[in-house]
Amino acid sequence: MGDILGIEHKILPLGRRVGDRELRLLGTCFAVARQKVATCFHVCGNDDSELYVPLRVQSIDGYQDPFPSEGYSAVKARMVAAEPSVDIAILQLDELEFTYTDDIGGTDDLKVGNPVIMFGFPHSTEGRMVLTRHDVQVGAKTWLRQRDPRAKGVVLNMLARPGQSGSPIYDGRSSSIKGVVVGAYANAGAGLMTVAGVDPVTLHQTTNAVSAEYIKDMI
Amino acid sequence: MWTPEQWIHSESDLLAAIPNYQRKRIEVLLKSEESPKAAARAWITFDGHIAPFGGSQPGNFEKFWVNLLSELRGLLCDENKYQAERNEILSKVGAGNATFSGAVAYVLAPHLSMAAVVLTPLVTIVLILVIRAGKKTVCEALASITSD
Repeated sequence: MGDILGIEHKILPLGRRVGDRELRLLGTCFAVARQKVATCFHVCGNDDSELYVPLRVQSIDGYQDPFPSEGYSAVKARMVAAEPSVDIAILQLDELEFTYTDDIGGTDDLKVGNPVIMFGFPHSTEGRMVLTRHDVQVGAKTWLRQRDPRAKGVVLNMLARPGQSGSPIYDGRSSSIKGVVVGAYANAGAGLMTVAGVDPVTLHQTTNAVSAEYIKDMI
Repeated sequence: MWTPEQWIHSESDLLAAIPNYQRKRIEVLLKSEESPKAAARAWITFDGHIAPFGGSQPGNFEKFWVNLLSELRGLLCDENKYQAERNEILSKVGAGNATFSGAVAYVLAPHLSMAAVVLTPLVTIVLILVIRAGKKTVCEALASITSD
């Protein structure tokens, strides 16, 4: 992948304001147009009220403060496109403009074993705000929906964590966005038990990402 | 004058009024699922054995569906409710600023705690159910649908 300078200005956390001051982080979003970001639909849910993108930009090459408590603003986000069947939503940020966005591709030309790069905010659901890069490989290509209309996706060989939903997946050979992290494979036992806030069913290296191609029709 | 029948003509007209990226997938679901309600459920749900990494908790579809039908019936058929919302729909649609299903979704969105862009296709699916009910009026159709 080419120069990642400025990546921290294009990939941001997404949260929902609770009460007067608390911003509860939900996941990751990334710039796809001048004033638009993409994320997973399930990160926002059906309701786009009180969605905000905090502007606590810290250089990815510097030491990031993991739990910044003050000193940053947040811009309101509203849902302008939603496709739950591929788990993608597009949010408009009227108070922020991106000067550069990356090319949106898809998973068709990815092959098993290809290197890809994920940027996101792991553990942001716990308030931790550290933009993190993960270099991983495509482990498989898979249909993410069981029935028509299907959704193309890939399996990434990594254990992703809450907060990384909505993270963009870059082609390791270019700066094209290929997919969006949606979640871990989970069987019927998912959600039945948590241990220290972790669902044991999700503790494996089968992380799914939906193809980014569905974004193109939505922006 | 408020006559919802003037805006609910055909399934193809209703589907043509929603964004292309949504319409393509909903058309597939309306053909493949056993009913429009099943199509609505399949559309709003991202299945595929995935535990999401963060975000909001999914709601209860059955409860939502009952609320949607109730609110839509109140908006379109109850003379004592939603007068301001009906005026807003007449204004938006009359000025060409919105489609009927889009305007309906816009006014109902706060009542259902759902973004209008998510609600519009679901309203469209209910209106398709109204057409398929084969009744003389929209309100007769909604009455029969909500009693099912």
